Amino acid sequence: MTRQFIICDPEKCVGCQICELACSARKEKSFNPQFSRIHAVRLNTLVEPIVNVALTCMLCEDPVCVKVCAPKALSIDQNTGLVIVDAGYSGCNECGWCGISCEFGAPTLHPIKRVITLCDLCINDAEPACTLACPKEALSLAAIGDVIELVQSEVAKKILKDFSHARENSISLFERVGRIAVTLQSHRHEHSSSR
Amino acid sequence: MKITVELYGIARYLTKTKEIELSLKDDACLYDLATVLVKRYPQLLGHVIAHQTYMTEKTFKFNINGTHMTQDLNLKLHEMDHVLLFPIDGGG
Amino acid sequence: MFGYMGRILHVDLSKPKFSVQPLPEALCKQYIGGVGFSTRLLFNHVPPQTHPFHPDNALIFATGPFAGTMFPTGNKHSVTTKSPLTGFIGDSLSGSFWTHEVKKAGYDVIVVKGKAAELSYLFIDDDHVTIRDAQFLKSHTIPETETLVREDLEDRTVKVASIGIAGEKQVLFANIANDRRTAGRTGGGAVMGSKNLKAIAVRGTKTVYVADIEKLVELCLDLYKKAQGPATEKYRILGTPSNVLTLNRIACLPTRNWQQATFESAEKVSGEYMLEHHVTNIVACSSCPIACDHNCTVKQGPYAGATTSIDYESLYALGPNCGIDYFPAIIKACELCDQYGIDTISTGVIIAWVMECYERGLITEKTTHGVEARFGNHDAVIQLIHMMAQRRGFGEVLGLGVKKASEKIGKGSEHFAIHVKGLELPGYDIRGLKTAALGWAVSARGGCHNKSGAYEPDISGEVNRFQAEISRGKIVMDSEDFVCIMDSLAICKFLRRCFDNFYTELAKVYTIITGINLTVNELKQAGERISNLKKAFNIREGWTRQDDSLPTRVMKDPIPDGIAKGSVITGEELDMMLDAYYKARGWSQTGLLTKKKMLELELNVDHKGAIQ
Repeated sequence: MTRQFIICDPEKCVGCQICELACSARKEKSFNPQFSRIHAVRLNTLVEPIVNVALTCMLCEDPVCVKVCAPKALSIDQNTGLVIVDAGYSGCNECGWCGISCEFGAPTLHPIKRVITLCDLCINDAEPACTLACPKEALSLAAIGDVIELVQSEVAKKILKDFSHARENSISLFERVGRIAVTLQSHRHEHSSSR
Repeated sequence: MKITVELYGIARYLTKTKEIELSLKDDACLYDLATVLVKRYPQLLGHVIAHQTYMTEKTFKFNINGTHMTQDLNLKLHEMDHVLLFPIDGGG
Repeated sequence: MFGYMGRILHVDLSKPKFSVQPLPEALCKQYIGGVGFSTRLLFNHVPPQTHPFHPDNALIFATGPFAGTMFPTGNKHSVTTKSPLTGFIGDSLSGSFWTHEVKKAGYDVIVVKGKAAELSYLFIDDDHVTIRDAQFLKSHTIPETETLVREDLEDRTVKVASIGIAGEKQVLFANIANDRRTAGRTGGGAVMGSKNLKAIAVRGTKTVYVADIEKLVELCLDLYKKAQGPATEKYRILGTPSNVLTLNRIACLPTRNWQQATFESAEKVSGEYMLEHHVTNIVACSSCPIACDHNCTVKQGPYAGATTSIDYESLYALGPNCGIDYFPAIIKACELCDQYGIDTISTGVIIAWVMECYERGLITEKTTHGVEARFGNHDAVIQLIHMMAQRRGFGEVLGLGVKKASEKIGKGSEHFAIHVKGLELPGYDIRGLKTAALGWAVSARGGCHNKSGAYEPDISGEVNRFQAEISRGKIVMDSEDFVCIMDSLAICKFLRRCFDNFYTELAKVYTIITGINLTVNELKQAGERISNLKKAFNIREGWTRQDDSLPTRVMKDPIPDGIAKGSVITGEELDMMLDAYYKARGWSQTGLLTKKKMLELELNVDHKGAIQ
């Protein structure tokens, strides 16, 4: 079976965050963007055009998140290709290395369950919540071979379009996604424990 | 008879046309005008003019000579009338 | 509680002190949220006759029950205060990510009172609220402030609502902005400035629960689809600037300070021109499937690099109304307003008034400190914006708004000061829109298109727009109550055509989200209740029938051009429609609330000045 994952077309994405809310509703029956397995990212600085994109697990063939996971809580499901998380006692220890090392910032720490969550393509449902809800049809399921062409080139094209310092921008895009996913969480964790 | 149609808002955007002159039969009504119009610009269907009925969608109306808004497709037109395809949501 | 977070945050900047009050359930059903909540709290928490800049004035930010959920456009909040521009209730809507963050931090409403000793900012981090020094933010623009606050808190995901330099200087039409959106009207930013409050930064981690999530998801998916159809197409593609050519065609486009109702260069400042030459991308507010925010940039010429979002009202005010047909200058002017934090409508109307004063010889270059304030001179527009936002030189007077400025300059300039109750008018020439004229005259916050959609029956031809009739009283009343519900739920008005039966559908959604049973009649009555309470507040602050008036030009100078030529609102017409409106409202002939109406709506306005 061809491995698929969710991609976002930044030309269509308007940054509405509805994917996050739809994911949270489907997976956790309530609304909290931090429950979401997909992250809407808006780059909105003073001098650049706004870039909107949503990023989630790309189902890498040789995922760095699995490699860096010290307690070996992450593994690949051989049937589906999904990265699955062992939430048991000897599993995920909330260190967040997977999120920091993931280029797309996909692994997210669930603020209540205190465990990493990852997109499972809503594999048990008829259609993923996010692609179903996306009002601009910016999100879709795509095959793994399309990743470079559709995702990276689209993001790059968008960023490159008007600006010469594209390299800086593309770094900040991923850096920011990473921060949303993990850095904030660990910061919060410290913050709440120090109160 | 000759009727000038002015297109505004999305109607103008979809057709890339500000204004066209149409030749209609002498006792033509708005329905006849709508028929000719969607034949020439099928892209108006479902956006400005409704499928099948040829009524305007709820965000549009016909405006006769800038003064009279109508959705009455039986309205008789007159030589040299200006019919505006006019958006009715004013919100800003 | 479902939908609501169930908590009101009270902030006293003077002490400083913070406290959390549980949200009373009775308030939910009677006042819904947003504008309803904030009007009630303003009435209760601000003593009568408080000066807008006195620490006792409250600045109230209120979200609605739909915020934080996936309901389309539900992430909106109201900003309510006693307006320094009008002296009456000032309420303005904003929305997007900041609203959502407030909800996630666990609050429905934030009530700010008092005054900080030094320029400060508020950081609401879930339950942990602190006041932080903001000296380093002094004189920074709104976008800079957002960035600097995030750096200060070392978290780029914090959401920030802030004022610019104009708010600090208490320009009376200064506003409060967040995430590219602005609570633009009635001078909330000046009140925030008077409290020495530069920004409110929010970070939240909490979860919004709804009563029936399966039903809500189903319903929202349907609305997302409808929001991609013809009902919102105008907003999605051309944006509100689409209005320029349509209003120009029917002679409703106020031009050169309302001296004309058509603009000969309308094509050059149209939405169509903008889309072709300046729009770089179109983005959405948080939770909005429509996406109307047309981000524009200037690529070349003297204003190259200017970038901001353009909507119709800003375009009218700083374009045709000032005789400007050079689009890049309008983008630059809007960008400056957004950076300084001033209302674009008020700004444009004031500048147009200055230009007319100048051309009529009522003021000279000596008065304007060297600015050649002629219609069409875009350089003058830019210079005047700098002066008024910084309250520098001639800008000191202009920062008071067109009403007070015209009173100071005098010489008959009051005749063409375009405002109602001190609030400058939006871009619809109401001389040829008689229902709208009534709507603007009676609006609680002053001259405004957002507190009643009274122009719609006129423009859509549901009524004869050139004819004043008794029936318009009820039309305006219904329109105001409808808007009160939209502003209290609080959802975006651009969604309104996605419903077949607004009240039935929204009452159902309210119950699905909150679990509170609400009938259609109860929802309608809530709208009426909120409208009446706004009025009660105004009466308490000294409102009389004379305040429900229109600019002298609108009542004396007929439209000279286009198909609305000759249109004017006579004193008799206005009086007749006012009588009809007060009667429809169940008020006295002088426009005061009656005891009967008060009891019927359970208004509980104990101050005796408010009722008759």
